[in-house]
Amino acid sequence: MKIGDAQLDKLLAARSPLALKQQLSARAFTPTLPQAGKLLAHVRSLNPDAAAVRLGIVHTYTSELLDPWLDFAAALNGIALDTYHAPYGVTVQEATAESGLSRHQPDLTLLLLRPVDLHPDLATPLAAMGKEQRANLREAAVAALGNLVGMLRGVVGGQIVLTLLPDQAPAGLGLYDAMSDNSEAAWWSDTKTAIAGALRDTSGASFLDLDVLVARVGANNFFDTRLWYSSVFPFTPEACLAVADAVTSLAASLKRTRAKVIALDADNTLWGGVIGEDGMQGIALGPDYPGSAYMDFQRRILALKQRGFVLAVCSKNNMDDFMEVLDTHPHMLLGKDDFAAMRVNWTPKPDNLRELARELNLGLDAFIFVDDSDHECAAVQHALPEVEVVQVPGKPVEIPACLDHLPRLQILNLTEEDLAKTAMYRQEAQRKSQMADMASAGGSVEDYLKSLNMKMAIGRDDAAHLPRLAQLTQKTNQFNLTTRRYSEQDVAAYMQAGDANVYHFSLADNFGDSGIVGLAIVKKSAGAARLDTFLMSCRVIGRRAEQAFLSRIIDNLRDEGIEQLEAEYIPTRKNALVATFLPDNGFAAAKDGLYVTTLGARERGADDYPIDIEGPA
Amino acid sequence: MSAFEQLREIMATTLQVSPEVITETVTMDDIEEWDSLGHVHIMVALEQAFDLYMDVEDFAELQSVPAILEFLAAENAG
Repeated sequence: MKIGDAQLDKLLAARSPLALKQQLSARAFTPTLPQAGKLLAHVRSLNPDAAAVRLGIVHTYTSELLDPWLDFAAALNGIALDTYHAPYGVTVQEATAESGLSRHQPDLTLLLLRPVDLHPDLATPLAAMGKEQRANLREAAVAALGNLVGMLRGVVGGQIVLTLLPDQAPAGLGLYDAMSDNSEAAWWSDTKTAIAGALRDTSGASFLDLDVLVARVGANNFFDTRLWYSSVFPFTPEACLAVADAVTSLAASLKRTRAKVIALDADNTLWGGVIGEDGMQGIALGPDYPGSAYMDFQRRILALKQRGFVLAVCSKNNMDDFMEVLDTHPHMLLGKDDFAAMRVNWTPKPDNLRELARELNLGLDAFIFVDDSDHECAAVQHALPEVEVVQVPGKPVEIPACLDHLPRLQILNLTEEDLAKTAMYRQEAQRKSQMADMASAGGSVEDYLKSLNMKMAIGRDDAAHLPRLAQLTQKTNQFNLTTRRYSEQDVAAYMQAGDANVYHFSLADNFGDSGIVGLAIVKKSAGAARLDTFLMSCRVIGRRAEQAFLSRIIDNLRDEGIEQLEAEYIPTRKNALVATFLPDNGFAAAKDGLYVTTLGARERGADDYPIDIEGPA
Repeated sequence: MSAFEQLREIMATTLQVSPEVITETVTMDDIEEWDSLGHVHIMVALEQAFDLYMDVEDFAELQSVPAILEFLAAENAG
């Protein structure tokens, strides 16, 4: 939709990049290029310190015309781009150490390819091909792509994002295509699944499906045939903005601080109206407008939970009123178990958010706060600038989509730990309450830890867990001695190297399985070793797991003939928790800020941990 | 705003040059930023701003400010 002068003035008054993005998205506005230029200047003035992202583009159709849209979408998503375009049509040739792409050192490499680049047979209709021929074609196309991505992987770090230009022509068999055994649409859909599967095997590579964007924008509004046939550029301004937003959202999710928690208000956010005043019958939540919008919003919140975000409640209500809706309202989709923590009281929200952060052991910069009230949003923004604040729109129809446009809610991978995250945080709350019960009954911490029946499984150089292990280096801020961030390919390289060991552990107890929560990387040289990385998820702090893990690593290194282990503590704003971890665990301060321990001087398995330990295997 | 002033603003913002560079007689050859990519940007921006539809053949014709102004006048835009 076009933006009129009055609308433009409103947009130019937006108070944050996100607020501007939400206004644009709510009405599907596409600015003209001059308008985009003005809005870009405004957004940059709001957020002058946007994280810089180096983008490399490898393309077999014109890509440079995307630049103003990429810069604009990047600003809306809270980043600033430094973009390199490979020469037109050059793909494998960029996969050398001296190429322009390698030298650009991209954080994100975007491949803009056409299907025909994968196999020449894709230039002609497929309907006449036999089953086997089509299967072979798919296999060849996927292999060619895997090969290209693998070669690029060898020369660039960061994320590789593949796109394939959707077909502008209708299926060869026209409207009959869906009915045919030889359906091109079905072939294409299966091929995309195979491509995604192949990319999952290459670390740090992902497939961005442009078909999804075409469906949203509409094919007639997506492709510009004049620019395609005259300049080999396929996109309308609407398409440019959609593609640029998708790419820069992924880039932002890579570069900006990870969001982990969505803290939700209740009244006029999860339902319409105020439960304390309107009562169970009076609030809007159900199949009829406006309750239908709130139901749909809850459905999307549940989807975000499945992406691995932890849900929490931060609302001013009487707890009894709130729980009655949660437990008994027939159209409430969110239940008690969907929330890892709740603060339902009359305390100021910034205080409640601080408490939630403490309870969940997470930094406030991992929080996204969602509330309809101007006052609450402003209070949180003012008191806790590190929290990202999303104001729920005033119009119910705009509410369900209000979290769709947050780049920090996009993910590039999904681990089993992510899927079970809320349950894990809930288990942690149960542990804390058991500990409080035992303490009030006069029990010691050691008694409590024994009562958990903890089981630790330590693994070594296990590539099956690469996504999770890289994720741990990316996400762990507090219990982290060195805060070195590694990509999957970095961790894989350590696993394959003869002079490095990568250890991890998972922890289970009576309340549940926490999954993989600890990682250590050790670099070895003759007789000595250096603890490059030692970290643990905050979920399992306070159970002596870190000591048990370290002790087993030391035993394992001793068995390999290592005599000395060096370690370091690199202070950050967030890791004061481990400032004394090394001296507390038998390391002596040495020169250059290092700590050293002599393995022979340490008794093997001397400590008696309240944990049943297996491995390293 | 006159048609020329509107055009100047659109072209200057699109090409990211100062408005003084866009004179009533300037052509594509006079401005470094007005290269083939810049030209496509200008065509797209004009279509968006004036609600026009241009043919591929028009793209090649409209390589100077006078030509664009004449085209806009004929289209009754601006």
